[in-house]
Amino acid sequence: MIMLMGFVLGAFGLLCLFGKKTFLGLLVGTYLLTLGATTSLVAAGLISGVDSRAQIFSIFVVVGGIAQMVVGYAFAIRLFFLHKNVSIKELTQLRN
Amino acid sequence: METDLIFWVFCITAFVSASVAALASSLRVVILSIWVCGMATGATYLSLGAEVLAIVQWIMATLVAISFLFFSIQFGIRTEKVDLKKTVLGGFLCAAFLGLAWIAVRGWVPQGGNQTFVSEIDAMGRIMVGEYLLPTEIVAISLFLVIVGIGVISRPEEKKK
Repeated sequence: MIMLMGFVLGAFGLLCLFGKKTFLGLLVGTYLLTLGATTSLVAAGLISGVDSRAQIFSIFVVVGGIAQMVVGYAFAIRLFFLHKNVSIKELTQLRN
Repeated sequence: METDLIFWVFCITAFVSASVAALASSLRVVILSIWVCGMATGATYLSLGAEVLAIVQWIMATLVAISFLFFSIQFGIRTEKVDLKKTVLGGFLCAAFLGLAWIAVRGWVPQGGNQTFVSEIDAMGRIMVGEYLLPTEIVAISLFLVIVGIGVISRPEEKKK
C-alpha cells in the first residue's frame, strides 16, 4: 500500500509540473516527485526486507532533492533579476 | 489494528494535501499543503518504524515550506493560474504512469515476515561510512558544488562599461 502512496505522490508531482505556469510551481512539482521517490524506496525496503539500506538510499534521495531545490531557487532568482517575474514563458535565456 | 488506522490517516492526509498542492491557485494554500504533505509522509514513515527518515523528512518539509514562503514574498507572487488544458492532459498521463507502475510492481511479494523497519542508527552509520562511503562522499561533494554554483548562478550581472 505504501508503494501505491509513493506512486500517487509522484503522479501529483507530474500533474503539478504540467499545470503550473511559474518557476515556483515547477519546484513544488519536483518536491512532490522527490517525496514520491523517497516513499517508493521506503516501500521497496519494506517489501525486500532490507531495513537499513532502504533508509540510507532514501536519505541520499532527500539530500539530492534539497540540492535540486536550491539550484531551482537560484535559477528563479536569476530569472527574476532578468525579467522581473518568474513565469516559465520567459525561460528562454538566462543571460542578458 | 491501531497502527494500520494511524498509517491510513496519515496516508490520506498526504494524498489530499498533495492534490491540493497540485491544483490550488493560491500560493499560500500550496505552501501550506506541501508542508502538510511532507509532515504526513514523515508521520507515515514513523508509523512504519523508520524514525531517522521521519525526522529528516520533517526537517526538510519545514525548510522547504519556509523557503517557498520567503521566495513567494520576494517575487511578489500570491496566486498563479493553473493551465486547465495542460492539467487535464497531465491527469491522463499521470493515470497512465500510475497504471504502468502498478503493473510493474503488482507481482512483488514481501520477502520478510516483518512489515516494519527496525531502525538502528548505529548500524545505519556503520553502513554509511563503510559500505557506502563513496556515495556519501559524492553526495557531500555535490552539495559543496551546489553551494558554489548557486552563488555563481544567482549573482547579478555587472553592466559593461
